Amino acid sequence: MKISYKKGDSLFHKIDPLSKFLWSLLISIWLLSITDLKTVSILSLIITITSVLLAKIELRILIKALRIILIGGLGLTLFQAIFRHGSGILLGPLNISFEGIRIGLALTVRMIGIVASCLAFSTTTKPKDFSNLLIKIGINYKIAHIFYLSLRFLPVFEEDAKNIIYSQKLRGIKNGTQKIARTIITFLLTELRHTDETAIALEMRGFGLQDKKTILGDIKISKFGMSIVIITLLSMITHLILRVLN
Amino acid sequence: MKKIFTFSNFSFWYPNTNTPALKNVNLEIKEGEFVLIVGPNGGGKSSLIKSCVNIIPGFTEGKTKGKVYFKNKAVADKKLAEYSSKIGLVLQNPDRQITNLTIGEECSFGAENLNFSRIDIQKKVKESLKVVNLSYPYDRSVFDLSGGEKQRLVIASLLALGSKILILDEPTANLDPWGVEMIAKTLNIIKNRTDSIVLATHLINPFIKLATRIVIIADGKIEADFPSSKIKDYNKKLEMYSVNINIEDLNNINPLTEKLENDGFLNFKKVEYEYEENKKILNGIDLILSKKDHTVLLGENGSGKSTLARIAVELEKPTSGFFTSKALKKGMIMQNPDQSFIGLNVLEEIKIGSKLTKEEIENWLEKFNLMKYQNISPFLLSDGERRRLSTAVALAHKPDLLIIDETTAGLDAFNSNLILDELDNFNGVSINITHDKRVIKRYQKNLILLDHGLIKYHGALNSMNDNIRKMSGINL
Repeated sequence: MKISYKKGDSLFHKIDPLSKFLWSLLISIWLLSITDLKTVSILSLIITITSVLLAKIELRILIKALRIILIGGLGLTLFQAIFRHGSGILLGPLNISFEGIRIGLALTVRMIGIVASCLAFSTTTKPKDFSNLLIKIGINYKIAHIFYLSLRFLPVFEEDAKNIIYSQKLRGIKNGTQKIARTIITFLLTELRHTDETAIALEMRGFGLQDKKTILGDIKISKFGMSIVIITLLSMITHLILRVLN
Repeated sequence: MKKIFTFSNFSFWYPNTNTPALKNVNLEIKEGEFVLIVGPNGGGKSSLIKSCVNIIPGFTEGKTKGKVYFKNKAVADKKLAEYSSKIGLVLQNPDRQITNLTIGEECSFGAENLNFSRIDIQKKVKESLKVVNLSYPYDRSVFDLSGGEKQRLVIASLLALGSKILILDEPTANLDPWGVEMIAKTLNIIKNRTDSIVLATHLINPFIKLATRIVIIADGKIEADFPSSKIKDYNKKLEMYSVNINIEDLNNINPLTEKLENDGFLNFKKVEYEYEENKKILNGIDLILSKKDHTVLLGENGSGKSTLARIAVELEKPTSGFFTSKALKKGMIMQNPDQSFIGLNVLEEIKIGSKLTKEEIENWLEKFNLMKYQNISPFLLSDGERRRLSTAVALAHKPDLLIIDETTAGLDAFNSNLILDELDNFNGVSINITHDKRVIKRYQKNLILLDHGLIKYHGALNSMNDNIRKMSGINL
C-alpha cells in the first residue's frame, strides 16, 4: 500500500503515534470549522507544506492523492455552482452561482489539507505502534486491534475485488448497476466464506482470552509530540476566538 | 502412551443436512504419533480436525452425538481460545490466518495475547523462527512472503505460543512444490519437539516418511486406520478413496518427437510488467504460442505466472514491450472459484453471459455431475463441486483462449480427473498455471518455466535437464 508506513528519518518519524494522530485530528477539525475560502487556502497550504517537509512525504504519492481530490473537487464545484442559488452568471439555461463555486473550491482545498496531514500520519507511523499506544492509554486491545486488522486485510480485499472484476469482464458482463450489484454480492459472499478462518486463527492465538495483553516495545507519548499538539490546539482556539470577535 | 484425542462414537451434522459429516467416529490419537488423515474431498477430514479444538460444534452450528476428548476432558467444555497454548491449528489459507503486518508481529501475537513476559516472548519468537527456517528481519512485511513461507510463519507463531500438539488442515493445498517440501522439512524438525502431529492432507508422498499412522476417512466414516509402514498393503484402498498416491514417475515418460508449431496466436515481445515503481514481475518475455498449444506455466509463487496469464487475456497491459493476440473470446478458471460466481444458482451461473439453450446448459451440468445442484447457490457447494462448476462455466462459454489457474490444487483424484478429462476436449489455446504433476504429465509437450519474470525453459518435459526439472519443482 502506497499510503502505508515507510521507514524514514523525518521529524515526524520521531514523534509518537498518538501525538501525530491528535495533530492530524486537530488539523481536520480546524479546517472543517472555517468556511472562508482565503483562510482555508492559506491554512491548507501551510499544512500541506509542513506535512511534505516534516514527514518527507514522497511527491509522487502526494501528486496521486491530489489528482484524485482535484478530480472529485472539480465535480463537486460544478455541482455546487449549478445547483446553489445566488448571484452568478447565466450560461444558457444554467445559473452559475459564485457562492457555489466558492463553496466547492473551499471543500476541495480543505480536503487537500486534511489528506496531507493524514498522509503525514500514515506514512510515518507503524500501525502496531499506534495500536499499542492506544492500548497503553486504556483502550481495550480488542478494539485497538480492529484498526490494525483492517490494514492487514485491505490489500487482500483489494486483490479479491480485482479478481472478481476480472472474472466478470472475461464473461462479458456489461457495465451498469447490475454489474456493480453482482460484484458487491460476490465480494461479500467470498469474504464471508473466509471470515470464519480469520476468527478461528485469532482465537487459536488466544485473542480475547485475557483482559490484558503484553505489549512489546517501549512506545511513549513524547513531550515534543505533545507540545506540537498543544501549539496546534492553542493556534486553532486563538484563530477561532479571533474569528468570532471579528 | 498417553491419549491426546479420543473420539467416542462421535457424529456431526451440519445445519439443514440429514447426512452426517462425521458418522460414529471412534478414534484415539496418542502421544508421539504423527497421524495423516486422508480421504476424498468432502469426506470428513476437515470436520475431524475441527472437532479436535471445538470449532465443531463450538464455532460451527450443527448437531452432535457422542463426544471428543482432549487428554480425557470433553473438548466441547472449553472455548476455542482456551486451547491456544496447548494445541496449534494450521488452516489451508495462510492469507486468512496471518493477522499482523510483519513477521515479528505475527510470531509474537499469540504470546502477547496470553500475557507472556517480554523476555519470554522475544526468546520464543527467535527460537520458533529458527525452527521453521525463516531468517528474514522481524520487520519484513508478510505481503513479501511466498505461500510456503507464510504457512511456516503460521507454524512459528503457534510454536511461540508453546503449542505441543499441532493439527494441520490441508496446509499445502495452495502451495507450490517448494512450499510443500519446506513444510515437510519443517514438520520433520518439529515432530521431535511436539507431543503429537495430526495432518489432514490430500498428498501422502511428501509426508509418508514422517508419519507413524494413516487414517482414511470417507463419507464421514473411518474406512481404514493403519501404521504408515504398511502403506503398500493399503494401496488399493487409498486409490479407491481418491487419495493422490503413487503418481507415475514423471522421469519415465517416453521421449516426444512432436515439434512445437509457432503460428503466432499469442505473441509476447520483450514484455515487461512493473507493479510498482522499479518493482518488475516480468522482465522481458519473448514468447509465441500457436493455435493448438496447451501450455503449462511452471515456476515458484511470485515468478510472474499469473501476470503473464493476465496479459494473455488482456486484463493487464505490459508496462513495456509488445503483446498481440488473435483470441476473440477469452476465459479464465480462477484458483478461487468463488471469485467468479455471479449467479443466484448453478443453472443461472452457466447461463449468464452466454447464449446457451436449456438443453446445452443441462448437458454441461451432466458432464460435470452437477445436475442435482442446479437450483442451489454456487456458494453452498463443496470445494470440488465449486471447482467443477467454474470449469463448466468457462468451457460452456466456448472461449478460444482459456487460462486455467491451479484448478486441481487440493482436489482428490475423482474431481481432478473429471475436470482434466473435460479440459482435454477443449479445442482452443490453453495456458495452465499449475504445480500439479498430473496436469504437467497431460500437457507435457509444451512446458514453460518462469523464474524471476524470465522464461528459463520452453519445451517438452523429456528435454528438460536435471537442473530445469529441479527448478520446475517436478522432481520434488
